[in-house]
Amino acid sequence: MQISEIKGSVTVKLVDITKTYGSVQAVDSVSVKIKKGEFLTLLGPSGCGKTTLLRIIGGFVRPDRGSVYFNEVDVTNLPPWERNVGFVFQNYALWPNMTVFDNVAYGLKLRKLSRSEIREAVERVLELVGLPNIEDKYPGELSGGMQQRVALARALVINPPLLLLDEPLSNLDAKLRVSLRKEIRRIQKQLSITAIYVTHDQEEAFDISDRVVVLKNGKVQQIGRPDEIYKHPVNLFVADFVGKANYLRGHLVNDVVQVEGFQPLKVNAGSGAGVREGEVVVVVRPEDVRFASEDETWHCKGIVKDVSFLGGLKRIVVSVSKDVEILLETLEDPSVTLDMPVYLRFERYAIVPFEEGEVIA
Amino acid sequence: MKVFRAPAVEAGVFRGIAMRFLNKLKDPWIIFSAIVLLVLVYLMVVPAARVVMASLTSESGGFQLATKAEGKVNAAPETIKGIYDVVKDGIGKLVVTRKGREFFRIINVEPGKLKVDLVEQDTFSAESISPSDLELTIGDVVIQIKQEVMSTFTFSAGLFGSKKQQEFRPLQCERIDERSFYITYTPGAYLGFKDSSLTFSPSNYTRFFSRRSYVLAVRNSLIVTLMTSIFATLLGVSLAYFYSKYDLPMRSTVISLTTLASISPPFLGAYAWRILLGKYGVFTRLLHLDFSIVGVHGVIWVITWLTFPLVFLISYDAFTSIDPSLKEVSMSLGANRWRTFWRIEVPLAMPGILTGLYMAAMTAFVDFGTPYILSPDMKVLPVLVYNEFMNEVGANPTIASVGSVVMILIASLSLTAQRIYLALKSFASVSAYRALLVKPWRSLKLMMGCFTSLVLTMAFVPHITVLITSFLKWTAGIVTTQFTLANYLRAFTRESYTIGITFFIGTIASVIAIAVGVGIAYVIVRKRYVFITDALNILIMVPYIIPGTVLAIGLILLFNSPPLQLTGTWIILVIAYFVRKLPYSVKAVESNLYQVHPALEEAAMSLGAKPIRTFTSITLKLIAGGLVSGATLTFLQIMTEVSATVVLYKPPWRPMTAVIFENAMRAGADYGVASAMTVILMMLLYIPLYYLTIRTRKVRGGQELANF
Repeated sequence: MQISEIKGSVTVKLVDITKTYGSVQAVDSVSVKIKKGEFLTLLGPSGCGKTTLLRIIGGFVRPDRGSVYFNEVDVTNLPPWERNVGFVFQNYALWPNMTVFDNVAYGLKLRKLSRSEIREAVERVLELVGLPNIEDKYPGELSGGMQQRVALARALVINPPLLLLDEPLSNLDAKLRVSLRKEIRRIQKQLSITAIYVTHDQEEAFDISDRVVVLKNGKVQQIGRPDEIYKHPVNLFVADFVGKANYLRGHLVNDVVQVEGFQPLKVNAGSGAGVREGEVVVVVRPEDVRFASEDETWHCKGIVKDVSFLGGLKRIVVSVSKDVEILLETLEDPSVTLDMPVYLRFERYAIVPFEEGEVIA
Repeated sequence: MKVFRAPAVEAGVFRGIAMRFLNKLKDPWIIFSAIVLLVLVYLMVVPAARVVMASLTSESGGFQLATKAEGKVNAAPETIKGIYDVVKDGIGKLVVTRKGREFFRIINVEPGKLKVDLVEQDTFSAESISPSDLELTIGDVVIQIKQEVMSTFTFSAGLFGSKKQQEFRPLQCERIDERSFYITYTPGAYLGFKDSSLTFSPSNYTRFFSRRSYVLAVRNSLIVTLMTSIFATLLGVSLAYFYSKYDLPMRSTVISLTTLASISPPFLGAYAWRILLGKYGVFTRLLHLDFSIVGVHGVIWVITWLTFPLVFLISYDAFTSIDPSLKEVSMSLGANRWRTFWRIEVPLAMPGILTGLYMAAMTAFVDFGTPYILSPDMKVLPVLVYNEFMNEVGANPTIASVGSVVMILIASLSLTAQRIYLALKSFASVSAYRALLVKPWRSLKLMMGCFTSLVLTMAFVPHITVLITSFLKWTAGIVTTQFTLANYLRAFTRESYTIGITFFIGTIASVIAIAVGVGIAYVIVRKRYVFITDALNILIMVPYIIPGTVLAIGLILLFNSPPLQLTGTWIILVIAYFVRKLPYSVKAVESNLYQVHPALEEAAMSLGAKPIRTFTSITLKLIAGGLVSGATLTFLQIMTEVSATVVLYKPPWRPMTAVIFENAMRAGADYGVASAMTVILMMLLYIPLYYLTIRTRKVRGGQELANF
């Protein structure tokens, strides 16, 4: 079957994708399956290989090993111009010498559509991205947000079965980023198009995605729904990358973690199951730490060292021992004062294996 | 544990490799690169290799036997050449050695008859070509024997008139046995033995370096190069520093004027200064000077004014692109202005300054027009090479090629040194903002005003001189004060077609150069092909190390025989211009291509455009403006090319520079036409340039121009 004949969205299957640049392993044996109409985000720090992986799916980079399938069709050796994939670039990549109309119409002209069909399709897609009546403007006359919408329109106008987005919002200011990502998500759902999105911003990734793939040094660390990844990170890197946390080093024996200065922490469902006995780290998110009274269940006691008010949120630092401090965030007003002795309870925590050399921030 | 691979997997691997290879062949850029690579090797490397080969081979040589009517046979030592030697071995016996080994013996049998005994070889054959020519093949060595009989009239009426007149006997070979034969000849004739096969030998180099006048040419060239680049750097860098730092009056005018001066016709300076200060120059005669511009000092003087604009433009760019915060940090840490200048500004500007210096040095080193016009006998390498190759009498192409190789070597050493320096000392620094210009104090303003006007006057003296003299009447090679338009009239009536020819050849060459340049630049900037990209990158630098004169000689050696006999046609001029200017057009396109983000092309590909379509519909359109200015600058460069032109041109294909060259050189030539023609050339040069600067509308266009 020809790729160009695929109507609607596709499933994407990556099998054992590997790419090396010199001595750098950019992508290392990555295998992922993406469902039809799913919004999947590749998340990771810069240099983790997420963009390379996206470019392999787009056809701009040939993998050294492994295969890419669209709907079970092997497209690994197809060049980009035969893949029929919409691609949105970080720097918009609008052609500055063409009007918005010509930019968006480019792909349709290649497909030899009639003039009236092209005009109609361009108008429709510009309407979809919320930019009617700007066909005659040049990209240079538009704001960054508008330019990226035009770029999105240009990618969508050819009705691709797959949309690839390479950090499309990273050049925009914070407010615009939030509103535009909602917009992208809306359009993606409306068209029910399969989308793969690359970002280094975990908040963005969590807000927009059905599932997230966390990458590090070209290797997949964890694949899962945003809340899964946040609540149950499989290792320290993921835990650290997707949000703030307290890290407590301890020893796991018989489903119980012993941490010096803390009550024993039991392995519960979803966290720590399957972790090998031995050195572990307990990850506690600041919002999962609660104040407790002496007669309730508590995990440690300490002294309030710092209280800062960040708008609605309060951030409190509690010193448990000489070296250990617990960060706590709450929306309530716990009415604590400096140097007050308190008891703390962990509503939820994750247990991950300790890895030598892993930095705990 | 050992893993055995199934044969099927092996086959799969091979099929994968084959598939990859076939996929590569589908990439049109790789095919383009491969073709261009072959063509460039043929047009750049092969001519250079031909020159090197010519410098390393010489004819095997031979000797001449002088016979007397009464039967004496002698080999005069001055006639013994190459790898041959002839030694006397008793009365009437000569031993001929080749490469130091005994080759054959000649025994004088009787007047008009010699016996030849082969020593080692055991096969020979002889073929009579004419009564005076015999071709002898001994082993695999071919020797031509030529008999020269002094005319009987001279013989009898001369000093030896009393001698008996000899009858003419044809030169013949008579076989005795396998290894010996007789040669019969006219007694009293000269018998020349010549082996014209080529032998590899470095002896040309020893000859080159043992002859005083040749060594002098090398020395003079080095002196000119060194002195010119020192002077040009002093002038250019100091001006650039002050204009990059202080808000001096007429800054942009000064920069524009220097830009103009940087691409004046290369022979213009020499020609004008000779009119003013030559042996019969205007000032020399007017002031009865006991001094003239003719000489090495004159060459240095003229080329300095020709090259300082380059240094100025490049170092001006270097100074202005230093991030000012780097200076501020240094000063905030307690370094004073002086220390900051030496420790921060100079090191950061150094790559630019040295690039300027390198370009000035190379311009001086390969400049043929200036020394030749100042005096055709000037002993510098380009003139030596030209003279030894072109002279109608006493030319020595072998010496020309040795001189060429010496030039190539010196140029490659300088290029390598420059590249290594740049690789080591280039600091990428992105300037966030440009430094504000400092308001100059009064005395500095005054001083710089005087200095600048002096420098610019000197730079434009040639232009003004030629403009004035083009309207004056010339008699017998001396300019008078009589106003006339006759020079222009003559230039237009007699030479108007040369303007057409210049445009014709120049347009074709620059269009080809820019078209091929676009492709090469694209591959260099975008494609990471194994071997091919690197090879193109290196090949592109080859013209930098082959001076025009040398390239021209190489092209003549390459194209003077069928099937591709191009010498004397316009095509060979186009080839020479294309090769010479290709690096500049590649550089011009490259700098434009770096402005085009790869994503702009990838966007088109993701929408379904194939590589060629992407290139034509996106890339080419985005760099179109740069292409036009690149092509124009290439064209201007070609219009003023001298060194290859004068070796290669042949009427009717005479470009303007050749006409000016002819008329500025030959004794009794029309200097008036040369002046008028130069003015016309200047107009053709500066009008497009003016529009180009308007179009780019920025003083920084200097960088682009300085690339040339």
